[in-house]
Amino acid sequence: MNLGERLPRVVIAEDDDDMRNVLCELVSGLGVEVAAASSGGDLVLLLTDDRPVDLIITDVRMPWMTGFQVALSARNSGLRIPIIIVTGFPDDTLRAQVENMGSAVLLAKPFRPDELLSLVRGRLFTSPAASA
Amino acid sequence: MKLARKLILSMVISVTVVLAANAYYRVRRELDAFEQDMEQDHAVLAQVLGRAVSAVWATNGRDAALQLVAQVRSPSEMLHVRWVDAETLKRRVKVKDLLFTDVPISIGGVVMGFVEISESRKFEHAYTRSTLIHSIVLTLIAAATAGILSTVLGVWFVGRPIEQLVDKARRIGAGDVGSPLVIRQRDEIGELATEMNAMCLRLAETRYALNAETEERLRAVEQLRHADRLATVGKLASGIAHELGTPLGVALMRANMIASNESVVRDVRDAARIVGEQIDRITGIVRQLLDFARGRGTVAPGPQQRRGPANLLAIAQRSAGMLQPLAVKRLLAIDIVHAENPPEPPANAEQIQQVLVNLLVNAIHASERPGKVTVSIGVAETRPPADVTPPVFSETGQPQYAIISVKDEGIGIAPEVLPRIFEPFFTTKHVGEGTGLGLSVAYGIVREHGGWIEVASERNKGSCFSVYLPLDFAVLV
Repeated sequence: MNLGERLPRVVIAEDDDDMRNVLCELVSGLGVEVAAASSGGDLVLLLTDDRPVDLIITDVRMPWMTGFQVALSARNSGLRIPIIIVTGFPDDTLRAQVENMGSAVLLAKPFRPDELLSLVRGRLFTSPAASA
Repeated sequence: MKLARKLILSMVISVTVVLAANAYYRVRRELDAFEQDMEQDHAVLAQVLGRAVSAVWATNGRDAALQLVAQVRSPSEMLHVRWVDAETLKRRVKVKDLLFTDVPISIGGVVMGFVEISESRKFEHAYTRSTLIHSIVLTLIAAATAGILSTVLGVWFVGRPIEQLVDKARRIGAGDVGSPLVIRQRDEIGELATEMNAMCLRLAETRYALNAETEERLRAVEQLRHADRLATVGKLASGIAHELGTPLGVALMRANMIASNESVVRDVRDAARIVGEQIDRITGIVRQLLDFARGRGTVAPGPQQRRGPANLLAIAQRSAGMLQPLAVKRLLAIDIVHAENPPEPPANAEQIQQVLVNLLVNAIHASERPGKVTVSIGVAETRPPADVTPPVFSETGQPQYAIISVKDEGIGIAPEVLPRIFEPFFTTKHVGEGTGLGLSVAYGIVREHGGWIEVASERNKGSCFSVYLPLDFAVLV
């Protein structure tokens, strides 16, 4: 991913405060900029401001609008960045939908920190060919 | 015996009636003939006497004629001849036992008197009586003979076999359809016995089929109940596991952060590391629960678990290789036995390997003495249990299944424990040896593949777990 001079920017959406905080701390430990949202609506606001976004990490079940709906809308409106969808309910339909979205991956809770970190690293710091 | 008695009675009555009628008509006919004979004799005698007396009267006078009449004697003393005048004749009393014939004697056209011929009917009565006695005796003898003969034949040909038939019918009523009747008679009774035997045979066949069907149904119901119980447990488990996802994730990540933070005191870092490890263990268990729940139909297989032809032999070799150190420690050998062309069912190789590893670990733990654990790979045509949907294309024929089985020579499974072994957290191992999820996970994965696990076990002889996986790709819709 060619970012020029700026730090990669990761948007994290999670309605559970503790989970969101720990995710933010964990991901920022990688030396990236992190923006947090606590609902589907917040996530939409974050994605529609003018600042660049390089990766979305979102929970599915959130108030207002599910993370998956937001991600799908973003993808449909031309946003091509990688997406990590986190869920405690990885059912078949969701898996299929996430796969069809392209450049998106489903991470089932509970997960180990290094599982998430390796996914994030893989999407931010590898060559464009490998991260496609 | 009532039927035989009726037959005997009717036979005796008919013999008696026929003989009695015969005797009656014979006596009647003979009496008639007797009477006719007597009347004829009288007529001849009357003609002769009339002429003789008239002739004597005409030539020698009245006294000579009367003397002639007085001289007529019958040798048998049964016949009497006397002279009577018209007056006496009129006053004569009619006697039934005597036959009278009166011969008028007329001289010159004037009736002078009558010659009376009288004969006793004593002989006739004596004859009638003797015929009657004779007939009665004969009838009695005939009736007795008929009675005895029909009793013997009736008992032999009717009473005895019917008693046998009645006894047999009672036994059938009581449910005994075995022990066929042996009645060697080529008549209706013999036919009835043959039909009864045939009926018993059909009843026995029907009962056998019915019993088999009932057993089959009971087994199916038991299987469904078992599957239902596991499904309930699976739902519960997945519900809990889902809810635990977020808090476990938070706790694990926090613990890891503290553990890797260089600015924190070393003791605290160590403690955090331990907390992290423990949470990691919980995470592992929760994931296994989700694996089990996935096979219970709560979570369908995802695209990440695509199934291709899984080489069961390669899977078995890999799993055996993984567990070799554990087996060697317990002085066990892992043998792999397979057919010439080991089947390659449509399956997720990683998941099947997990199933096999779980079964092998159990087999090794169950083996308390040196020996071997045998992994066999084969193919079978069979019908799945009631709660497993058979492959779509094999509605008519028997569906084909790949079988991979793990057999140990260990302690076996107690019969009371057997129905519960697939339940999550059910374990007979010591604390710390296992979570009680291995078989549940195996069960879940195999069910997800449209297969099932069969268990055969004998105390102190060993157990055999057979995993059936459908070979028909059509089952995976």
